[in-house]
Amino acid sequence: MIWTTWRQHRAEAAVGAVILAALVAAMLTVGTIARSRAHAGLEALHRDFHTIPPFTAALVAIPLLAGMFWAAPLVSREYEAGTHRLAWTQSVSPLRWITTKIALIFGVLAFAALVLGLLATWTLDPLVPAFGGRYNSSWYDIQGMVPVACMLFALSVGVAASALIRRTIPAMAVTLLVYAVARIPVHWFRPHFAPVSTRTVTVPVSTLLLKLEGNPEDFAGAGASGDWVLHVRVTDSSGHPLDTHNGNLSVVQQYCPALSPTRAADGGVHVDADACRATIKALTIRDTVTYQPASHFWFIQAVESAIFFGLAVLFVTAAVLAVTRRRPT
Amino acid sequence: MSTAVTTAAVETAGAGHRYGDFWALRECTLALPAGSVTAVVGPNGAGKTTLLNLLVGLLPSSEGSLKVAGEQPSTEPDFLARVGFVAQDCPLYKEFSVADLLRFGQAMNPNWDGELARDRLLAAEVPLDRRAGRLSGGQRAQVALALALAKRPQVLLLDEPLASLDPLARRDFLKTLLGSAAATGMTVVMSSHLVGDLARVCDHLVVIRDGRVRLAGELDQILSEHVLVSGAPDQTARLPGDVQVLSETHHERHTTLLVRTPRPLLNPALTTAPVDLEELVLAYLERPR
Repeated sequence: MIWTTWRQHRAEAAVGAVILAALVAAMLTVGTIARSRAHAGLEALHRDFHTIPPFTAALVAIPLLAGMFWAAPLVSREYEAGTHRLAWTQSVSPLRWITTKIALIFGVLAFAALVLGLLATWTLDPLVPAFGGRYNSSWYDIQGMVPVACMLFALSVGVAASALIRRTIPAMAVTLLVYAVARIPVHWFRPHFAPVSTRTVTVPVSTLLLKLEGNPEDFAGAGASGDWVLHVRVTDSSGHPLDTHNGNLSVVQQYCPALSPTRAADGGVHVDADACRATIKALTIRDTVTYQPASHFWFIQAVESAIFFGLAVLFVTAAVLAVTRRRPT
Repeated sequence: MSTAVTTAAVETAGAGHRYGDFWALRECTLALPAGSVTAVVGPNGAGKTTLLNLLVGLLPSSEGSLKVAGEQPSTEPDFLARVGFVAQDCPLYKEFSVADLLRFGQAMNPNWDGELARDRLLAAEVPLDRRAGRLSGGQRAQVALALALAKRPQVLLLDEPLASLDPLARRDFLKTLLGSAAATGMTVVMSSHLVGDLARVCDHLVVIRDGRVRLAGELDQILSEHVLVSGAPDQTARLPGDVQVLSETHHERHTTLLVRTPRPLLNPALTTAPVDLEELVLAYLERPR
């Protein structure tokens, strides 16, 4: 069975090896360069590596492509060519046939995903402070264990669709659909995979007056800390919500209604602030920040991985049952 | 059947398979002795493939029981190792070379006789380095047969193996098949929609239509039991009670009947003639149940 699996899938294995080698080389290069520039400061890193987040966001598609092009044809192409009648009438039970194929193909691809996941974690290490931390949705899915869980989940969906539908193209379409439907909502649930924290930041109104084109939420302190800021509630010092629709300006105006801004040619906002300055002296506003601390990153990864490992087990079981339960062909 | 069947290599009792509400095969009862060569004949859609898939364990039986090589057909390796199967259209992995397919057979079967397969294919002049997708129909059939034979099965099942072959390829295929069957004593069951293909090579016959077995038995006995009877209508109307009339043709002054009779008809007013096998099978296929 091992030789048979190798012979049937060696072309795909070659394509996969080339892709893997290219990605490993790219990540090693980026990681090395980023480390050599780490001293340049976050703004320089942000400027020099701004093409990295879109690139890592595209890598999220790797498990899906593996599921569609490797797993979805696994059983259906046997049915389409009629070779299931050849494969399953040798001295190997369909159970051993499907379990060996799944073990080998899933094992190899899960290992590749593990290599890429750990390497991505290393590569991004110097870059994450410049781009809002590890939780950044552009690269959350390609770090640590989640790529392995996603890979196994996508493959299991593919092989289950393949065994149940028995037609390759529909199985690929179903794989795409199921994977997307399962993965997209995770981005909404992920903040709740661990208990959230809150903290309060007190900001003098006079600070807002200095930067009227900014927003009161800017003082919540995300950035380099690596925390994942989920929500910022802006209130006055006694806890009443403040109008923030026009950023800092609308907040300051609530204390100094007479303040009338004029937009200058350079884009900045100029006000006659002298009258106001006396009024707001010693006044503060409060940012109440709901966030996931950077320290919860691996716990959240573990929860998400466990969910998709579990789903993978379910889909693999469905595939094995579909193959071993003899049905009309 | 009066043959002394001591060991039936293929035995079914009321076996059948249902696809949803449709019975592809019902109440199929057969006993094929070890070493026999059986032709399963019937039109397309008669249930031949269903019968063979039941025998090789690709399909579960919906009713009755089956025994092949002493075991109930299953997907267990022990059973599969004793049964060779050449599926309809001889499916092969197109991207595999013939040598790859032999390696595949070796990897998938504990009793694999690679030398036998290689010798057969060399004798049939099949190039071992050619990819299966580029073989001719006759070569594909030879490869599929070699893969099945190299398992050294006790029972070899073939589904319409001759359907896509030209007459020369048919002859070569049957030569390989029957040579191996004679040398190893294995039991052969093969299906065809044309009896003419197999009449010369088989010793047992199963006629099947609409999922029902219409006729089954040893070929010699079937041929000796069936006879064409001609005579005046008043004579042909008075046959013994145990003579079964399968078809009748009325001419101006006489009637010709195809009958099944347990013993020779001795009425001097009747003339009898042996029946052609193809005609006999057609009579069973055309007969309303």
